[in-house]
Amino acid sequence: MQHRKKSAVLLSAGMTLALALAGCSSGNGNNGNASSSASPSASSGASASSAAPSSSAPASNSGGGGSPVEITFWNMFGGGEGDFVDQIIKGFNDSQKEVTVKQLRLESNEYYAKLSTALSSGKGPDVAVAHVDRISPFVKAKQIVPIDDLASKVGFDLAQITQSNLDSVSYDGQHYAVPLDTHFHMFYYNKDLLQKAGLLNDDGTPKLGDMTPEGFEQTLAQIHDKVPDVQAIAVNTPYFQEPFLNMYYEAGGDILNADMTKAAINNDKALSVLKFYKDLYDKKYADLNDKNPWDSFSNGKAAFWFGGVWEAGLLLGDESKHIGAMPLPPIFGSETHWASSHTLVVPSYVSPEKQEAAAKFMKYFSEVGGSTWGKAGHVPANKNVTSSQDYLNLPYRSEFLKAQKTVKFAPTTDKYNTIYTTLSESLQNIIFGSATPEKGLADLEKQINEVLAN
Amino acid sequence: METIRAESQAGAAAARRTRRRGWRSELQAILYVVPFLIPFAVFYLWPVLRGAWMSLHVWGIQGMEKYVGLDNYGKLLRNPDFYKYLWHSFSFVLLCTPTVIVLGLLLALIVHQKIWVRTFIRSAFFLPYVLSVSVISFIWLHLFDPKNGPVNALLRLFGSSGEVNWLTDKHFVWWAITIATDWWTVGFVMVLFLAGLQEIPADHYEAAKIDGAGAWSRFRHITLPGLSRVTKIQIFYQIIASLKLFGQVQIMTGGGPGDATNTMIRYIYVTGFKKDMFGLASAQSILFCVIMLLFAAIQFKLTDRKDG
Repeated sequence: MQHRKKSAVLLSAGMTLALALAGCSSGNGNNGNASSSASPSASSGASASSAAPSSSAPASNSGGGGSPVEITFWNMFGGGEGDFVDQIIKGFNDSQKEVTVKQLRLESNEYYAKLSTALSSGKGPDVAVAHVDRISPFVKAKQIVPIDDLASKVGFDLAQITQSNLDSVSYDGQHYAVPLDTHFHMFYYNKDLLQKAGLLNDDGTPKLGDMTPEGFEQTLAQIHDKVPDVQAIAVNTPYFQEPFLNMYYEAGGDILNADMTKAAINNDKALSVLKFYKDLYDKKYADLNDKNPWDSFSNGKAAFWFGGVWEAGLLLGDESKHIGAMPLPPIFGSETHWASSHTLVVPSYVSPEKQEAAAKFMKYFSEVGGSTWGKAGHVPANKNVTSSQDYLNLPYRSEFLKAQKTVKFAPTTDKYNTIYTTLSESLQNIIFGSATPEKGLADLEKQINEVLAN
Repeated sequence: METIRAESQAGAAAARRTRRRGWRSELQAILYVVPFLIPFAVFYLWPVLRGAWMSLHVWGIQGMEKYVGLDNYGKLLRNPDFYKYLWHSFSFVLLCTPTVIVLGLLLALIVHQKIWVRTFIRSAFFLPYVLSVSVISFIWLHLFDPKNGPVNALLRLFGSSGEVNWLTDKHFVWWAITIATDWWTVGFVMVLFLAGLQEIPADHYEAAKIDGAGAWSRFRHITLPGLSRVTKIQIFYQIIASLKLFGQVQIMTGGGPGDATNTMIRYIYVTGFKKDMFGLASAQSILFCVIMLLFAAIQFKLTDRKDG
């Protein structure tokens, strides 16, 4: 009996360990996927943090005289992106003796809650990363400073920055952030599968049919017939919002009306995109029940994939995968497509001395760090970087630059985050069939109008 | 006369003394409670009051925007989504609570028998309970994978087509969540029942046997009544736990497919932390809290009467 008890305890201990380990590895794997495809809510479930997190600003003392000025840099980059940022900061700190940058890396889920608390309480970073579609409320509340004067003080010529990026951060003729990059979706394709379907040109590019929804569906049908055991196209389920916006913008649509007071999404253009979306699933070109579509494509189980440029390292870095990339095909008419951008902002509460130090760091990040940042996949905003041979030697970057010319950034409303989340929820309801496209769009319009009315 | 006055004086003094002693012992009692009371007030009571205050405002990512009185509540009660997600939360109670209680009782009865693997069974079933919600959710996320998951592989072994999309088909998804949750918490239910079983005196069973009672009537008339107190506590506890469902759906389904598994707690989470509408989210929390308190009160009343 004693012996039996002992073995039972041992066995159960072993089981706990095995379960815990299994949990760990699967957890990590999934987190990695989620962040690599920038799926907004896939990972870290129970992260219900308090509504007003206390900003934990590390003490940063401004050294007078000969000692360097220390500035605090907040960002939300994890994984591969984080490694590139570490390299850039180290490079900057080693390159000069006037400024030392200390970084605080925050959990991306709670990053904006913390940043906005910091900005409104006047205690926090001296320079911080922010997505271009999140800076509107900060500009409106005058919580971040215009960077034009700062840039000229440290000899940073903003003319190096791509015009579309500059426009995206300008309010009333002034620039409120230094754009670091543009990120958007590319059309990735698996050459081996296209070969089998007879859809590969000699130069390794795909043979696509008519640039219409019907023409594209024909291409998919051909893959579906000839290579039946894979998905013709993997679709980022259930994060439909970005691909939806790509096609909706291609069709010439807008989320809001011109003066951003009302929703402009309940129309035939949106309906035709939704119809196309539902066709992909109904005709079995894509699998609605695939929980890891990014893995399916990466592992050669799907021929096409609308994926972010930030996946370039993973998908294009390994040549044995035989994956290529091109700008999104203009199947709904134009080549306009969704994009966002990482920028650097300087809070208003930062002392002039530290603002200048922050400007030096921003200059370095754009001019020198840009080439490091380009390896992560995002298209650097600095034109000198993107025209350098170093950058163009990276795989498919000339295609990225082509696609970057036709991007469309988010409307500059301070309600964008709410609107975007509402959009993604409504799309899930429509595509999973709990609402018809017509009713779903009408609901979405009503909800967005309510948000804007507040 | 004198003596009476003296007596009454003495009596008053004594009363004063006892009153003082009572006051002192009350102070003492408060002192003992303080170590709990202070954290409770700071970390629980204050946030609740603050939440109630926030619920009266439009409260965005940059803090208070304007006072709107009860508008947030009005907006909520007019929104059909609120009732839908409230129903989702309660329908999970109806699925999860009975199944986990019955399964827990069955397991407890099995383990209570003198069978040779009982220690093993007891630890095996209790083990999942020590895992965190994210771990069990990721485990079941993989087990329920429609193509490579063991659950469908098992179904195929038994001759089914094995084409059940557990987490993306709205007819199966609630069962998937229930199975995962039952597996996770049944061990705890079992242990409590086991403790209850050990409380029932063995001579009751012996006496019943002598009187010729069968296994069923022994269970019906001795075991069940003997477990009634622990059962009531368990039902109460499981209802509250089921209403609080969040982690499993957040990780396994993201509230999907569509919004089929969006629960009240996830609704609050999305409104507050994803859409930055903290005022509205506070109103949702307060309403949900009131509804839960109501249920708790009703349940308390019902069980109290039975005990009396």
